Amino acid sequence: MNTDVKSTLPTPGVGHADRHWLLQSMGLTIVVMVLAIIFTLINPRFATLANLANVLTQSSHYIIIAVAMTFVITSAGIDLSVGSVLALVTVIGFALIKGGMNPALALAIMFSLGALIGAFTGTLIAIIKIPPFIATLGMMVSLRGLALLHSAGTMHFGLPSSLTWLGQGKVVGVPVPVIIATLVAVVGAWLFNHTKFGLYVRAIGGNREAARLAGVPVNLIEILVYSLMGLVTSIGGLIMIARIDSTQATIGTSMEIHIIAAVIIGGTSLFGGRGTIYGTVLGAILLSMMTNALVIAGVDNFWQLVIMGIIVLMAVSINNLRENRISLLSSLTRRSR
Amino acid sequence: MESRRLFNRRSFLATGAAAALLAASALPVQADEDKVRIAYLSPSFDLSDAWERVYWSMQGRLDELGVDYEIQHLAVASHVDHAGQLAQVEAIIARGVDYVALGPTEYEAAIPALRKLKEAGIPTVLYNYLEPHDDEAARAMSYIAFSHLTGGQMSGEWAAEHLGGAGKIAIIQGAPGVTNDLRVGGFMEIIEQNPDIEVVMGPFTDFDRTRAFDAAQNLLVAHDDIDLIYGVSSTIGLGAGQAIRQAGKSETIASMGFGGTGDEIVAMEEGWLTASVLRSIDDSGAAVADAFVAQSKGEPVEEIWGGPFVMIDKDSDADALVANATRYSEPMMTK
Repeated sequence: MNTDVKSTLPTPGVGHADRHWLLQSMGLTIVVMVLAIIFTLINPRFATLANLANVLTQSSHYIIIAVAMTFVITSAGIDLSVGSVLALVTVIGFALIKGGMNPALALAIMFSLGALIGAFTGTLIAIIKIPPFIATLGMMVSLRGLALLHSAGTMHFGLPSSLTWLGQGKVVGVPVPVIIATLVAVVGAWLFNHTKFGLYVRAIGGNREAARLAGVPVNLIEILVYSLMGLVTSIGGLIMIARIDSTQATIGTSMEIHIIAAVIIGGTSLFGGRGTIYGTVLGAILLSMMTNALVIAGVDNFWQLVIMGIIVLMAVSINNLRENRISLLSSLTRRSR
Repeated sequence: MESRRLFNRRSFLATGAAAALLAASALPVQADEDKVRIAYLSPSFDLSDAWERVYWSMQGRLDELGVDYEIQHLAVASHVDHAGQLAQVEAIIARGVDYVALGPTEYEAAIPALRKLKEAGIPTVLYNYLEPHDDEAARAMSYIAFSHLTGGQMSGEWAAEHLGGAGKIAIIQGAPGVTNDLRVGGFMEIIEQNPDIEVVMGPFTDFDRTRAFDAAQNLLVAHDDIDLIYGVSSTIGLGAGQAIRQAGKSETIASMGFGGTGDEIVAMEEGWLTASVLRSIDDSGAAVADAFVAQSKGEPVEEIWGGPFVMIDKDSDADALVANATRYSEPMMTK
């Protein structure tokens, strides 16, 4: 089929991307800001610079991984294996470093392994046609098994200071994880909104068959999306283990729930085709902020879970209200005008 | 466009509602500056009732000593969420507390948190580990625990004696990590001295009773000559005991738990759990409280407190032991 992609698909930056990112996620921005003000009124210690740095640092590895998950979910996929990928690459990377390998080389191996695992997962989905949920569920279990085979119950600890700096260091008072997360988010937003790759990802998520007919190399893009997921999970994993200066085969268990929640709270459609990197960043920050602020407010642990759940539901509802996604309410308000 | 106005009525009202809900929930628990503020961090809710008993027994002892305190109980969703626990420690440092009792998800993963607590000058009791860290900057004020290694060794001695030095043992494990390694390691240290005892290493069950039940069933199918199953926690021992009972083999196959909780005592009385190593759990909670009180009075604080174990089986008169082991926590948990 001779299809002119440029003539059938909009140019990068046009379509369902977050080109109006600030406006489209304004509901969530308001929620985050209002909550921050309330928490400050409850306990002013929340708003100290040191604590705000805490919140951003705590959300850093989630932001990094959630940025890649935004691509996956926008392409109408899902990746349940992120926690297991993180565990496997970090125990291998850690063991290589502790075994005397040059840290830079060990990191290169770690990142390459993450990307390769992602490419394999992408191949299962794009070529073997295993649904993403099943493919990544299988990978989640198998990779966790490999991590346990490698390290069993061993706790790896004692990274060189050049690596712990990535999780615990500061540059001009700004925590290094925050700088790295910002870079990943900026690059991710550019990739998502201003490149053909991002355009194709949205096209595949919106209508896979239409995208294929329009000349989008669907299989290749899907493999690349999951490769990106694996690579970026390795980067997020590095930040995480550098922060706690340790890792083990069971690390990252259930992490996928937190990551997917951040993406969906941010406004990315679970059904694909529409996503927002800015919203994802806000979603990750909101989750970390809630954990931090409820502790500082002195809320008991069981109540924290109840309140967190309610606020997350309200945050998404408010965002949907702002974007007129709730059809019944929209029609009611139109009638009342 | 109307729908894109920054503060349209609907979102404003909804945001207001969220604010009101949150404020209503959080305001009543603001800190009272006159009280001693304590943060109690346990590694998760799902491992056993030991963490809850330590929480209540610490309070029981503080009440007994007449301390005016407020306590914040925190736990992470999973016992391997090390980064989550570090985030909680950072939050309590930002909030400002007088004392911290920290039950780490894993010791080495908690070192950055211990460094931050020490840097913030917050006296900290590290629960569940007895070894002060090599790094002075990461040392807690006090280490309170029951030695998992000792408990494992005592279990091994009982098992070897019960089998008369010959037989087949299956071990059902908890979760990969130091606690599991020490309980299994201590047990194996003794069993390996008995060459006529064969050991089958069973799966990890994440200390989950249902998974332990399934694991025991599978092991019984795979090895019809098992004489004893050693579960490395209360929940695992109980799950294994139930599976053996369901197979109708409680008379011939012994089952062991670890901890000596009330449920285990009942199971022993009913004849479907054979033995367990009992730790006087409330003593450790009281020791945490005592460490805080001693520090507040400027008195010397015991750096390492290792709790005693007693091996109990179906022939033991355990009621008095259990009553003492849960003297603070039981009344508060059944209140």
